[in-house]
Amino acid sequence: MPSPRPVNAMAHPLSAAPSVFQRLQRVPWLLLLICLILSGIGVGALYSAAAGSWTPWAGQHLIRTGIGLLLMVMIASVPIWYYRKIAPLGWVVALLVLASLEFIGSGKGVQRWLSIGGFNLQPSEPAKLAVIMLLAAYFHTINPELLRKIRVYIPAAIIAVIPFVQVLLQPDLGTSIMLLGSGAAVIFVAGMPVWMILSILGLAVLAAPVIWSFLYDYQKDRILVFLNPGADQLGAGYQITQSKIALGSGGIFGKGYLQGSQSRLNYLPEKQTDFVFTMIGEEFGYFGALFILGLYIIMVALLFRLALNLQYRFSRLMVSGIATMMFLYVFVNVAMVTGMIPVVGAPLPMVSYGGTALLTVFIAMGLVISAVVYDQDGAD
Amino acid sequence: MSIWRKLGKKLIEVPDQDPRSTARNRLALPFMIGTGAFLMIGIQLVSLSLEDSRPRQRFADTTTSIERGKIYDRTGRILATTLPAFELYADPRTIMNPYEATVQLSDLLPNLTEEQIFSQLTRNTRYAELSWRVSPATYAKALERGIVGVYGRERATRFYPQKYEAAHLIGTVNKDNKGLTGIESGMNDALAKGEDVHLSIDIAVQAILREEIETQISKFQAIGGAGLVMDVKTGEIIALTSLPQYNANYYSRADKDAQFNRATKGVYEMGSTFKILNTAMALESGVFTADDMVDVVSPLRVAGRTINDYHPEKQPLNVAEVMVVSSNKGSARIADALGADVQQKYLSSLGLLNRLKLEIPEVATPIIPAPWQRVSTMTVSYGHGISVTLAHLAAAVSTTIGDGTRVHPSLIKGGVKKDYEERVFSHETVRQIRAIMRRVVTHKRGTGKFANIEGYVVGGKTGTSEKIVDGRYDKKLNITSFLAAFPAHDPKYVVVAMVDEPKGQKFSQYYATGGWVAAPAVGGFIRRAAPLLNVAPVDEDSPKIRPFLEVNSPQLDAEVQNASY
Repeated sequence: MPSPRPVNAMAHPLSAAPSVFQRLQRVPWLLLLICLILSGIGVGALYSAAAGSWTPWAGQHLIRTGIGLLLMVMIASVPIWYYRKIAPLGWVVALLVLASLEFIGSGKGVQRWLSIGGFNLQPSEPAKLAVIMLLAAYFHTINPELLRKIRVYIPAAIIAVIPFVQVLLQPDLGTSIMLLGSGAAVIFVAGMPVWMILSILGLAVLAAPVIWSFLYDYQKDRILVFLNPGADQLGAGYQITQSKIALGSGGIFGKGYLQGSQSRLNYLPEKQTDFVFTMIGEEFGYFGALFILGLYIIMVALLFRLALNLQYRFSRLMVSGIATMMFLYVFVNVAMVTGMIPVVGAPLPMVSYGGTALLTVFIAMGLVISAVVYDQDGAD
Repeated sequence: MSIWRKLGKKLIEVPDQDPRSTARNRLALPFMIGTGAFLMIGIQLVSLSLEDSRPRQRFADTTTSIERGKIYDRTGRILATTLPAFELYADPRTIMNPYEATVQLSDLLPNLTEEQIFSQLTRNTRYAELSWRVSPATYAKALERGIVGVYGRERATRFYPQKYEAAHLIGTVNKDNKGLTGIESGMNDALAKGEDVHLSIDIAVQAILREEIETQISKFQAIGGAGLVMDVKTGEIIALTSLPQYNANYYSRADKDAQFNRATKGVYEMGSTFKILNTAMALESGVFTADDMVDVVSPLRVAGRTINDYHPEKQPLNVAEVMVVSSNKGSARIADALGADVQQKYLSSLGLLNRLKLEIPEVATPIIPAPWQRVSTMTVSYGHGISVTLAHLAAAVSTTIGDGTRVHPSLIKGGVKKDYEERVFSHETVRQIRAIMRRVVTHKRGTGKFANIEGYVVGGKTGTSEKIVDGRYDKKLNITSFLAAFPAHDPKYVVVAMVDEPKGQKFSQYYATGGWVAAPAVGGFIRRAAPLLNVAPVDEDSPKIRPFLEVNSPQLDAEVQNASY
């Protein structure tokens, strides 16, 4: 009797377990290359943000990129189905850590940070991944026949909404929206019927006034300022006004590396984190900004394409969620600094200074590589 | 199947049995959303670089309006013109770091302290003025520094190339180039229409007058002074100066005292120069002839006041002699004989009871006695108890020694057009007054010897009055003046110089009278300016001139022969 093999693997010409070389061939190298280029841009931008200095940001960013790459390789070398199995555990840990912030967190009047052994972690970042993974794992087990039943979505809603509320109350509007968006993408790709989606959207519109009443004053300020930026150019509108001036002043080819006067003269707030795109836009102009944007577009498009071709259902859903997460990162950040949406606080993945977000992205990449490399092995 | 049924089926569609094809269908939507979102960002990026972040200007652009007319002096020299300059302002809402911006601006704006700049940069407004007038060079520097939120715009700016000279009468404009003072205000309508204004002023003559008065001010440690030169026939003011003066380009920075026009706005008791007018009234009214004797010896007490002479007289003097030696008692007795009505009639027809009419807003109304009692009539005869401006006096004297018809002062070239002649004095009165004025300067006992410039036949009269401080005359604080006409046999110009609060000096034997203080200024002026004014020196003793200067003064002539004065 032949040893039992997974059905899909049997259908595949490479029925035997692939060699290490074959697995390396499957690695999405273009995706990796883009990640490395973006990280390199990040190091260069942070060098400029410090007015031509490795401290305090650029050097750290380089080291973290190295750690991130190492972490990515480690995660990528573990078969994807293990992650499906530990997904519930990851979600519970994320929930507990988020809950603990209430008591031991730190930050500027808000609880976003967790200090562990000298490292400041922002647990809401990996929480996004945890939600994506658990939702993917959950729908992996659901019989497609049942997808029309509402009850199927109740556990999914719980998986997404609990951490969403936790992050929202930290309060971190930007991350909570991204978390919910990524989760929603997974559910959508899993196959939620259209009428349900429309109903949820309708309910969301109805619920908007209620959510408004739960928002913090500074969050309300930001939304109001977004709707009318001229109203408060010195207060909440200041960041956006300065950012727009800086982007506009860059022109087509920019003022040159290390030459951005807005950024250089400290007019630009948070230029090393959320507004790093603005600084790049000022120094490298419209073409520089479009180049970076292009890299992200290729990256997100690649992720969606990979998701499409994956056999393993968990992988497909997870990579879809990660693709959405990356898209939301980039979109929310860039739309914010260009004044298209309110200031919500979102980093530019791999370029912004900020260890947790950087590591989260590399962990996600590791998961994607694992999903791709171990696809069709079907150890299910 | 109807389209509604199709749509309904789509809505409740069971996801495909094959989850892969579900995903394939579903992934198209996020992909499209993503593409659309990135497209929007790209458009936003382009539009940002096209956006002009400057605040909209909320005022009319003055550079496009009609250029304000120029002001010229009578010889065509430019006194006021319009040049391009730049206004520098900030939009505090786009100033990002007011501290740094202050440091960068401080050396460009020497008139503002750093605190002032900083407070401007942090005002809660979209427009904070830094300077309404910087040179193109300074503006270029400000731009080079690239201070975000600091802007400039070109604006036509009034420029006064003569700086201090004639600043009071030229005047100034406000920031919107609207006349504020002087001719700029008085002739604003014409100037705003772009019409040029040609003044009666000759800026070279003006400079001489100013210098001469300035010299006397510093010699006698006076607080100020004023002077005026008038064309006797037309009333055109050839020079008008008020000291201390200020730079017309920086009107707002001048102190109040310098801004004050002492020649047309300041009213003063002119003292004995009024005796010219009193004598003319006496002769014109027919009550006196020049040879009539006047009691200047016996004491004169009216309404509890004693009227005294500077030099007590021992002999009675005739009317002409009263003016030459400047006897207050004699003048008072003459005026008393004329009566208040006659005096007021003449003063009125000389324009001394009414507000000065001139083409600038800085004019004053005389302060006249109220009620006009008998003693008032007496004191007014020698210039006390009545305060007028230098311009009032110059016009009244021009009327008296010109051709006897009313002269209206004017700062515009050509003077005031007269519809009819108002005759005030007859030709004979005019001739006699000219002769007596000449005698004041030439006679040994006359008070105006310092103004006797060889060849120009100067006639004149001194004036010294005490300033009123807190309602009482202060013997120590004087207004000294000298009024001259030249050449006396046929006057072309009247010159008045006034010096405010001179202090007696050792070289003047501690005198600070009109003869010592103001007469030398007028003398110096005539010596230097007569050639510019086209007045040629003449031989006074020629038969063509001598007869016009005949005065019968027996007492004074006798005194000169007998006494060693």
